[in-house]
Amino acid sequence: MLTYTPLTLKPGEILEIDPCIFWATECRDDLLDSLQRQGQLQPVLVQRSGTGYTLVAGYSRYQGLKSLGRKIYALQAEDPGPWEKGMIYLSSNLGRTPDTLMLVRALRYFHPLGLHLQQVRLLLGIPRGSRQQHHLQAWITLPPAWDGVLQHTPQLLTCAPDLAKISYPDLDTLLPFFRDLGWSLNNARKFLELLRRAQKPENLPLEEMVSRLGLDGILAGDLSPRDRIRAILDNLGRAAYPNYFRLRDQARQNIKNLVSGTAWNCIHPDNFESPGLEFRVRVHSRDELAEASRQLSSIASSRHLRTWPVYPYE
Amino acid sequence: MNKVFASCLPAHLKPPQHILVDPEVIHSELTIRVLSRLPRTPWSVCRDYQQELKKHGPDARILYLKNYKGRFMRFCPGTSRYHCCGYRIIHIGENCPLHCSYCILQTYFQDRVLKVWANQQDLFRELSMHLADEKKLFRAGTGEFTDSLALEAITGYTGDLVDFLGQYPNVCLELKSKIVDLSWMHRVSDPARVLPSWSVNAPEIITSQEKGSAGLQERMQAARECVRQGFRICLHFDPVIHYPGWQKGYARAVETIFDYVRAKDIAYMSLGSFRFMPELEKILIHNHPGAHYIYNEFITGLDGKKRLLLPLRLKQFRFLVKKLRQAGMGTNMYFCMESGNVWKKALGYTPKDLGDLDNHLLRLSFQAEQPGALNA
Repeated sequence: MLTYTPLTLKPGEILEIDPCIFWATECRDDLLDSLQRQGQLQPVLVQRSGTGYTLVAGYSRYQGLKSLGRKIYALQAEDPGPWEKGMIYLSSNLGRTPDTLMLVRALRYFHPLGLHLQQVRLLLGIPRGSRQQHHLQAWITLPPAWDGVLQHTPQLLTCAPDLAKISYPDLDTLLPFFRDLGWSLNNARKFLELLRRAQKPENLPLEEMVSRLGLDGILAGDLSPRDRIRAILDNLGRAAYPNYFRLRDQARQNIKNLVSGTAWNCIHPDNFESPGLEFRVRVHSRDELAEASRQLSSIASSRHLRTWPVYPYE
Repeated sequence: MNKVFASCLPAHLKPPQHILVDPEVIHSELTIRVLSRLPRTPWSVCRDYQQELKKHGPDARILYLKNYKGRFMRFCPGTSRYHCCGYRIIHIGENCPLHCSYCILQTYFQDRVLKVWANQQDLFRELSMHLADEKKLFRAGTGEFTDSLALEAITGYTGDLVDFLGQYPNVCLELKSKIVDLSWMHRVSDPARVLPSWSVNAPEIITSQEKGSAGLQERMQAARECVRQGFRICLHFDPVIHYPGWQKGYARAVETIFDYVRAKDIAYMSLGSFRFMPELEKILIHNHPGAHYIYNEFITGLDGKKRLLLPLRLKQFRFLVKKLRQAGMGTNMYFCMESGNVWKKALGYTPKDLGDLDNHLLRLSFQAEQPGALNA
């Protein structure tokens, strides 16, 4: 059990912020207001270091009091180690509900310290053996620069096991794509999958492949984020599935020609496993139905059907 | 511990580290035989399979002699949108000691434990019921959920089975394998009713992706020996894999095959492109990181399985069919799980032209000229 000594410090006496403050947030307006009106109701925690003190807990209060130029009521802990400091910090923040990024930051702090991680996970509310635990475990093997991505795309955590298999140089190449664009989970997965496929045959370094396919240009371009994602996935798809895309482009053009000027929509749903086509139309009246029927007859006798629009046998 | 006996086992078989035996089959003939062939392997009665698995760890080489309670005879789990050969499975066990990278069993079963149904009398009882009507012909095989012969050196299962089936002339048994074991042969009463068969592939695929299996030449030497003993054989180019230089590899495979056997020695031959349930992909990448063929253009087929994009596999099929025709093969070539369109484009005929695939293969199995002779 640690012992604490009460102190009153000038803000300038706190020289450092300990890394155990892994959830540091600036002082909110309501807290600042309360500090101003009611004064400091709870002490901050410090540790002696050289000629001054290191802050161990109470970052927001410290920032608020510093900005108000007030003295700081503190408790000095007797030489806690990194583990104890982390646990003190975590315990003093038990009221907060950690988001994904906060969980990652906490685990990044505790993980190198090794022992009793189960206790930490319990305090963080991470179920033992859960997927969340597995994903977080994988995420903290990524370079810390990746953590910022979780701020706008927390769902990317579920891709952590796949990201963890990528080399550090390749992750450096990849980071701007996730930092600068907001991905849906589905698209993020597709992106990683296509990257892996496009990279494999020649085992190209990612940087070379990104430049060869012009993905860096798309990322830096003027398109909307949505269109940039679409263009990136399309380029990658063409690299990973060149024959499929060639067939798809041909078929789409043929189908477009076939139904052009009619109300009919036509798709090929079979990934070229068959020459099958599906025709659809939406009608609202008997007249529209008669018209659609006439159009279908004209499609059936169209010159665009002399060669069937989908023919995957050559 | 097993060093001395291990030397007696064929190269593809590492001695199990432990044998589990269900209490009901401790005294079965098969159990007694297995335990006598592996005298130094520790064994125990299996009362709780999951507990035993935990005890031995997930990577332990365990042989499980099981009192199987399910159906022994089944239909091949073909899917509806492609033509299935209508093969009947005689279920004798699960899992396989070989390590083929593409093996679908990796997704079928939760663990790698080699399971053998040791209650053979129950199997024979069920088979007797199915096969009782002599007018009904069956083409059946044991190579669906395991390799037909990979455990033969330990179990002698196939020997027992061919011996039992000797009394049923209405069943033709196909033994599908990637190894060489002909120990069952002397127990066959009529070689016309047993079809030893081998999966064949390009030599470099066998070397790199079918770890533990026999080489193509060894397989074909065994096939030639079977032919000499009066058997006809079957061959299966399955899975045909699309890899850089496949033309050369598959041409060499065809040449090697016909260095050893003649087209007329082959009852039938199937061709099947690599296809898989989507779940296999991750497992394959994890277990076999060198299997780069998985990064090819696989699309989702009409049955939900992943398949190579049709024009790519059609190119391979046409190439193989041409080579095989040059070697004398005819309408005894068929496709495993392909559409009628693919048949027509690659072979020039469809299953319908042959009077349906299962009937056609039944005729080939029984060497029946007249379709009317078949009542299956």
